[in-house]
Amino acid sequence: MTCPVPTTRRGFWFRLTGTLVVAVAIVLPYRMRLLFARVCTFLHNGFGAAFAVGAGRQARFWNHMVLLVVFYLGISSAALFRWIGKLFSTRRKVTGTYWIERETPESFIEKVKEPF
Amino acid sequence: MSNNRCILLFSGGSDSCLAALRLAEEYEQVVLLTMTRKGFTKLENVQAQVARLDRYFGVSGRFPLHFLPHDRIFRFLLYENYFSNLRKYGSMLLSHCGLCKVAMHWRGMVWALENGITHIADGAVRSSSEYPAQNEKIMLKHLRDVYSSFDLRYENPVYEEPSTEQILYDLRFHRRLDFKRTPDDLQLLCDQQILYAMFMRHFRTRYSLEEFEDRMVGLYDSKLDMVERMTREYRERGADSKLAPLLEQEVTI
Repeated sequence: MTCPVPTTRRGFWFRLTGTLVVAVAIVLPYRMRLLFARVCTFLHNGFGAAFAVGAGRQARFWNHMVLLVVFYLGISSAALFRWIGKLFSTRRKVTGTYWIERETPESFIEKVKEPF
Repeated sequence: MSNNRCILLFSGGSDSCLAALRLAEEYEQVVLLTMTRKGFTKLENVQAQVARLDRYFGVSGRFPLHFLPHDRIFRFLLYENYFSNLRKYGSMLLSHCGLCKVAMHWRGMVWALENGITHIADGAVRSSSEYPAQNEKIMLKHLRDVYSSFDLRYENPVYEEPSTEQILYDLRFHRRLDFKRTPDDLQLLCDQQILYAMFMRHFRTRYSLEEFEDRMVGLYDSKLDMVERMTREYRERGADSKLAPLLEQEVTI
């Protein structure tokens, strides 16, 4: 816990944050002080290791859920998605192939005066 | 090895573990006391370290573990005579880590007296002397005097060790060398440590280590004098003493 010299920018920041926290904490009763310490810890660490651990745990949970459905229950993801797709399907698109009459090459040549 | 017991204030960290190994060479049973209070987390880490100690020695029961709450005592130490102390010592009253350690020693001392164990130790190291409980001038010297006034012997078996991690690695107790502040560092955590860090930012940027020690020693002398006085009163008057209700109100966290 080595503290830098207060004349540096880092030292000034250290003293400023330290003084602010001390000024607040010293007037708080026990439980409020503990709560304040928790808030300060969160602000200090941000999304640190604890957050990463929580996120990793969530990711593992959902990973297990998918594995459970696909492998353990034997439902392939393709079948699952098809079924989900059917559940939420809108009106089927109606498509068709249309024959367009065109003139034959022979009739085309007939119109030409001197083809060769 | 003599047939006797001793108490170790145990957090599960590398210093505590090395202290346990050292004490196990001398004592047949090392009773591990882990103090708990609001804001302490990862108690399961301590149990994991005790299991590791048992595995290391190949026997179980050599390191019995007790969790002792010290929340009320700590609160009392923080807030007794608050405004008068605030005028006298200022922001030093926010040196939570030191006062928490006083509370731990107080609780441990009472437990030792009640259970007839005369030797008590902890994992204090010189390299952490910015913590009052690990500083010879601020607290350790006076603490030894307080213990000896009750015919108890207080020792710091690893105080002079420069790197407890290295020794644990050499002893094959730990597989990794640099495990402090990593998930492998199985010890109790406190979410109020930030207050001590901020207090140090506020206080230590003004004073050198010597000035810091000189200023802190007054507060800790007064607290330890009070601990001695109240413990003596507790031994003489029992349930009528001022300490008895504090001990009764302690609840397991």
